[in-house]
Order: sequence, then C-alpha cells, then structure tokens
Amino acid sequence: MRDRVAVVARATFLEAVRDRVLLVAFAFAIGMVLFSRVLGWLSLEDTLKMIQDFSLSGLQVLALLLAMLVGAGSVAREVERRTVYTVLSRDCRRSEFLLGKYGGLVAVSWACVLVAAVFQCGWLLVWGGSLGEAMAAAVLGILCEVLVLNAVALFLGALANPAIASVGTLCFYAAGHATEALRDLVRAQAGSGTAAVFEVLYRVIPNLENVNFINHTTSGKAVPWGTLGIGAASMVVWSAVFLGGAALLFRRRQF
Amino acid sequence: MSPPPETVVSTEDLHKTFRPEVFGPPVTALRGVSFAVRRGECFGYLGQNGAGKTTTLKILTGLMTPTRGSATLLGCPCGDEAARQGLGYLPENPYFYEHLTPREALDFYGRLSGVAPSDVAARTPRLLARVQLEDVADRRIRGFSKGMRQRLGIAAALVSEPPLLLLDEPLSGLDPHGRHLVKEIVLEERAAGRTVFMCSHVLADVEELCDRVVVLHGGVVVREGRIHELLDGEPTSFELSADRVPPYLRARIAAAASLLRESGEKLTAVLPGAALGPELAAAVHAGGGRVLSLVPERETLESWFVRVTGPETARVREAS
Repeated sequence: MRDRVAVVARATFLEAVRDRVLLVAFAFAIGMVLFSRVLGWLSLEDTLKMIQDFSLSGLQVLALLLAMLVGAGSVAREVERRTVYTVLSRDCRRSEFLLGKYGGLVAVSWACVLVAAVFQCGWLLVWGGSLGEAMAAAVLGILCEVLVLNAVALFLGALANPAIASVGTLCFYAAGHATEALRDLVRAQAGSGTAAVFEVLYRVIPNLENVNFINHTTSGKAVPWGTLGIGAASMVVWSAVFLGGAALLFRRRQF
Repeated sequence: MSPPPETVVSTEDLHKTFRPEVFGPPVTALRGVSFAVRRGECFGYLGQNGAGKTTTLKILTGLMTPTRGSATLLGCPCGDEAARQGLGYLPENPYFYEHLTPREALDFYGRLSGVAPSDVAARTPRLLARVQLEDVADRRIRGFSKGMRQRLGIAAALVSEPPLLLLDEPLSGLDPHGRHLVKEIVLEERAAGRTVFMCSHVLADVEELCDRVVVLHGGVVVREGRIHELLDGEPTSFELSADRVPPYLRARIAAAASLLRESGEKLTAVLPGAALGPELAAAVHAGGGRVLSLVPERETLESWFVRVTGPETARVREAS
C-alpha cells in the first residue's frame, strides 16, 4: 500500500512542480516578500516589523493559493481529464489514490513555503533584522495550516468541480481565521442568537488561528510551544477527518 | 497454486441505470447483459455509440458498479483488487499526466500495478520501442498527438504484462502505420496466450483480429458467436464475368444485375441472391457464351453489423 501511495504522491509532485500555475503562485509570494520593504518605508511603524508581518502573511497566502489552484482541482481535474480511469483500473485503492494525491500536494506546498521562507529570512537579514524562534514557530504554523487546507481542498475536489472546490477552500480559509474573532466579538451579547451561531461555527470549523504565530514574531512575545504543539495536533486530526470524508465520498463515486 | 480460470471475463444479467445529470431523467445503459470470454481468445465487443460498451468496460474495471447482476474478471468479482491485478486497460482516448514523459508514465503505471522498479526499468525501453515512442521517451506527453497517446496507452496497458487486456477503441486516432502496429501487437499478445477484449467501431479490424464477437444494441446483447459462424451462410450475391453472351441473355442479366459493366464483348455483373448467379452462369454456358469467372460475395462484418443493429432489429426487440 505504502508503495502505491508513494507512487501517486511522486507523480502528483512532479505534475505540480512542472505546472506554470505553481510558478505564478510562487512569484506572487516572493513579490509580497519584496514588497514588504516598500510598505516598511511607507509605514509609521517599525520597518523590520512590517517586513516580517507582510512577508509571513505572503507565505500564508502562498499556502492558500496552492491549495486553491493546485489542490482543489487536482482530483476533479483527474476525473475531468479521465486520467483517473487509468489509475483506478490498476491495483490501486481509491483511498490510496487520495492519500497519494494528498501527500504529493502537501510535499509541493511545504517545499514552496520553505523555499519562500528561506528567501524571506534572507530578505529580513539584508535589512538588518534577526531570526528567532518566533519566526520558526510562525513558519511551522503555516506548514501545519498547509496540512488542513490541502485536506479541505481535496475533500471539496472529490465532491465538486475545480472552481467550486477552489471557492470553497477560500471560504474555509476565511472562516477558519475569523471564527475565533467573530465569536469573541459577539460574546458580550450573551444569550443572543448571533452569539450562539458564532459559538457553533467556532466549534465546527477548524480554528486556523491556533497555528497562526505571525503576531508573536512581530510583537516579540515568547513562543508558547505547547500551544503550537496542540494546534499542530488539531490540524493533523482535522486533516484526517477531511481526508476520511473525501475517501468515503470517493469510494462511492461512479466514473 | 490453482490453474488460471478458463473463463476470464464473465457477466451475468448486468444492468446499469444512472443519471447523467443530477436532476435529469435516469438512463438505462445495460439491460441484462450476459456473456463469457474464454482464456486466450480475442473477443470483440461491438455496438453503436451509446449501446453500452464503455459502461460495460467501466463495470469490468471497477470504475462503476452495476445496478443489478454480476461480473467477474479472472475468477474474481469486478472491482476487487485481485481482479484488477491481472488487468491491462486502455480507455478510449487515453489521457495521461501531461507533464510526465513516456518513460515516467510507464514507471508510474508499472509501479502502481505492483511491478518491481527494476522490472519496470527493464521493460520500459522495450515497450517504448515496441510502440515506436523510443525517440520521444523523455519528452513531455503534453505535446503528443492523438496517435502517440494511443500508442503510449497500449504500452501502459502492457507494462504489467497482464493476462487480460481490455482495449476500448485501440485503433482510434491512429494513422495506417499506427493501426498496423497496434494490430500486430494485439496478434502477438494473443499468440503469447493473453486474452484480449476489445471494443471497436472499425469492424474490418475486428473481423481481422477477433475470434468471437458480441453485439450490443440498446444495452442488450443481440448476437454472439464466432465471426465465421455469424457471417457464414449463403452468398449474398455473385459477380459474374462472361463474354460472347447471347443478346437475349445479355438483356436478362442487365435486368437482374445490381451493377453492370460492359466492355465490348465482355460483361461483368453483380447478381443479387444466392441462386441467380449460378443459374445465369449455367445459361451463358449453355447458350454458347464463355463464363470467365463467378465469384460469390459474402456479407462483411460491417454489413452484418448494420443489419443486426438496424431499426428493424430494434422494432423486433421492442415488440418482444
């Protein structure tokens, strides 16, 4: 089984790295890192803080773009282009195919985020900044976010066409980052219907803020490694839930 | 180890109904299809567009499940891993990962089928040479023509050296050289003892390659048998060539012929039916003329297919 998953993952990785879409997403992220210096000049705040804040956000956007442009369409495109016929008619289970796709997508996203992170660190050093554990925590957090974003993209891709899956992934990203803030915002209105709705949303949507440590980097706060560990574990669990759902849907699918 | 099953593919009362669109009306693609393919034979699965051929293949490969009935491959229920292990499948208009090269694609399909990487590496150059793609082995599939993709599809189906090949329109999109090459491969594989199950619209090729055919029409098997048995029978017409034909016979032949060519003394006529040709040839001979040749013309698979899948067959089936 491991072999077949690895074979699919390798093909997914090769397909993705040779696709022009990846280059565009990567160029966009690097552009954001470079542009962070311009914002530093324009901002009244600390220049280095702006570079860190904006370029780390660029990495987050890169993770989202990859999930939307590469991940969400990866299964749906295989069905549309019928490459799935030649794969699933082999000695390969549907769950192995999905797991392989997921592995390849995560590997591509991690590679891109890490390369962009190295570039971003170099950029920060050029402008006199320093690297600390907060920076490492922020990048690790983004890598954890990659896990769940790609699982959601794959889940939606197993259900719908690439466009719907991409938009769904974007909505999930926005909701996942906003759910905690929205809940806190309306918490004051205890007993109201709105508060109850946001409380439910907070419970059912994975909280991506649990692995967002960009503020710790820019504000110089100590890194709560335990929190990062719990956040990472929750992302792994959520990823498993979405992948399990995708496998269930895909198993019943008629081609 | 148990011997390989004699029946390699078998379907029993296969039904399939599905909705092409979520809120659209249901479509019944198969209505009780039953047939069996024996080990080592080349089996043709024929039918018009929409007859249910591809649906059957999808069920056999596990891409679809039947609404009712059952199907087995190599003695195992379709969709089982064990069934797929011995299967090489070429879908109609095969698609590949566009950014891979043929070498990478064969490595991918071979390893996916459980072939050891060293074996895949050894087979790949041989297979690429066999389908005449060795010169483009390291070029991305993205720029390939339809024929090149088709030949790569054949190579991908063969990479695991499966005992059963399911080929959906294997000769589609190929130029004459490509068609000749693929036909040769099919014959070689059959000679090597593999079972070949093929769907094709090119009936001349089916006639050339297949031992036995099943004809599907509107999701129902309307004919099944060995090609020579299905086509054998009385000649449908005779081509008579003669010269020095007496005028009264010449007029009779001209009136009866579906096609007539005259060149001086010589005439050539196509005479419909199984009796008219020999009868008029005997008359020419008796009348002092010279019969140059009398060639019986039998039905081709194509004309037979048109007849058995024509509107008359549909009406008879509806009525029954």
